[in-house]
Amino acid sequence: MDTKRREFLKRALVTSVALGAYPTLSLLTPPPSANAQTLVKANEIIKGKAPGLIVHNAKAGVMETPLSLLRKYYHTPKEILFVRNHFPITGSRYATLKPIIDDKWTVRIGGLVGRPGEITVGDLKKMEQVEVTAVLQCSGNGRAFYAKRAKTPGTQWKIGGMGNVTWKGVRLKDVFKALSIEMDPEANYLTANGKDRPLTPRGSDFVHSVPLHDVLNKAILALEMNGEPIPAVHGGPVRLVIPGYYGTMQIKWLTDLSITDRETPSRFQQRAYRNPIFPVEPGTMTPRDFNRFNSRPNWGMKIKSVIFYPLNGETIEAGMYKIKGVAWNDGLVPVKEVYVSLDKGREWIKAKIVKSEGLYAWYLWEAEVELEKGRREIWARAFDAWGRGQPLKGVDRWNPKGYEWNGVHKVTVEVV
Amino acid sequence: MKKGLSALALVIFLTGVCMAGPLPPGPGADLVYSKCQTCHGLNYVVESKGISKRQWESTIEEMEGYGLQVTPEEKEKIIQYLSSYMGPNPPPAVAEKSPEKLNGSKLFQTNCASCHQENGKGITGLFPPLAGNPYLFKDEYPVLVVLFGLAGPIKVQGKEFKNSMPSFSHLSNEEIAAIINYIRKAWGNEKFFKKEVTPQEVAKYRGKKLTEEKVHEYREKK
Repeated sequence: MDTKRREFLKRALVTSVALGAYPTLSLLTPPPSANAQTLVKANEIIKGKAPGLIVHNAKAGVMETPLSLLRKYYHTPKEILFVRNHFPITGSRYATLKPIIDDKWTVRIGGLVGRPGEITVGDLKKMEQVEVTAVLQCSGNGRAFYAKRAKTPGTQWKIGGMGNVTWKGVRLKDVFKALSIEMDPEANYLTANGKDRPLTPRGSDFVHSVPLHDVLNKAILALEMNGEPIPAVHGGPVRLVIPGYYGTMQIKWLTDLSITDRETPSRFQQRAYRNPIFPVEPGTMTPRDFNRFNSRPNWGMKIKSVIFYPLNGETIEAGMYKIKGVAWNDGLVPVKEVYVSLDKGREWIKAKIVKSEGLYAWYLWEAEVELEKGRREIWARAFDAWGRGQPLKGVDRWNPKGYEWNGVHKVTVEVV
Repeated sequence: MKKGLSALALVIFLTGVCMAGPLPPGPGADLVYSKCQTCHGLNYVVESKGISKRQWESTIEEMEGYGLQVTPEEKEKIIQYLSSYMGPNPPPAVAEKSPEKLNGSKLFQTNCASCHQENGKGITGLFPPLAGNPYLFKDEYPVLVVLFGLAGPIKVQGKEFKNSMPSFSHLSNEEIAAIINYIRKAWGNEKFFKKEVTPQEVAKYRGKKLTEEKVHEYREKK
């Protein structure tokens, strides 16, 4: 690995410049001196990543895309797509955008089945492929914003823990058909595991369980991202892609699929990536209180919209301005309406949805408005065909681990 | 006023001298350094600064589920540190001043044993052994490893290790010298022992400002 550490002063200078260029910097971001590891640039951690990504954890290779970069592309290029891993990857074969080429890589299918099966990447390549453009989002995306009410532990993602990419692969149900997988009719879950392993002898492996029948309808065993073999760090050579689900459930480096009747006991399923099923007050519940009856996993994505133009803190000329952004949901029904407000929610102006590559992808929307001089707050709020919408105050959905933020996006600009 | 200013100056001075790492110094900080960098960098801890004691307790329990191994005493000390210094009302950072500080064996227990184990045997495939490890005597190599970390595959006694060791540069020159001198004489290593490392030598090597990869290069150099 060709990484180079710079002397402290150079690092500090580069970081402060990089931080200064990130428009939505706030008190929530650790100061430059916080950690030698934050001073390491994204491209030094994962070969090929753009240096401007915000590094949350160097050793685990966790990094976020600044909005200024994210908004430039409809299909988020691999160089800037956010990364999240659960075990250290620095120096490993996964710390690169280059693909892992291995046609013998095998996915085993077992559990409550009449007869287990296995399929290689080589076999998958020969089968019928489908493409789906889908939003990939970390369920912790937006966690930083819960701190306004009560801070929650974990990576303090803001907005860039998400992207929009096109996956290509084989439908999961086609794989099951090809292997004549006979499932127990009472089995409820698909439990998936990847090649990554915990570092210490007693830790839980990163394993997730998802609702079997919903997932059978939409999941693919993906081989390509944005038209090329999936970069190693994003889960290649084969990733379980479940459009509409949070990223954590879309197991990277897939090796095992199991038909089960319960969720995996992995702590990553039982203690993390869960939300309470009822509202909780900060201080009354922590993740160790989670069980199967008071909480549910971060499966389908909550409806969300993000303002791309303008950015928070920008200075704009008074007059006509085209507010632009994206919206998405879990893909069960289409996103129907996006509204913007210039007066903190008193009046709402309907935006126009101009593009989407399907139910699971970003819906691009825009609204031409007249901006008057002064400090203005621009809000955006989306609704889907089931009437599901975003809370006016995201903190109202506070939960012990700060997941699934989908509060109305509020951007402050100076209009001159 | 004068007293307050010189106390403040002392704190700032100590913080500058003792704090090469991201955590504010305080009792238990060394445990956090040694226990919480195996699987991820310390920025996770720093980013979560401000959460309550209950949230820190829950977080440490979660980490135990992911593989963190701590004794109940260590766990209590870690939670005590995190809930005060990384809690909603952190006290002013004060360097720990315990007399046990320069006991090489105790320092090894606190900082190194969680990976390299109390008996110096490490864990196969994860953490290399120090007992009978000839590289401990390759000039200043062990000092460099402690100061700057080590990245890259290595072979010890014929077994391969593909992990990485974080830097412990937050330890003082005296502490590092004490630890090196301890491991060079423990578990039967004393038959290879030649001479002690001094804090001044550690200070000299600290100035080299190497990287995890450069230390690996030095190791593999014949």
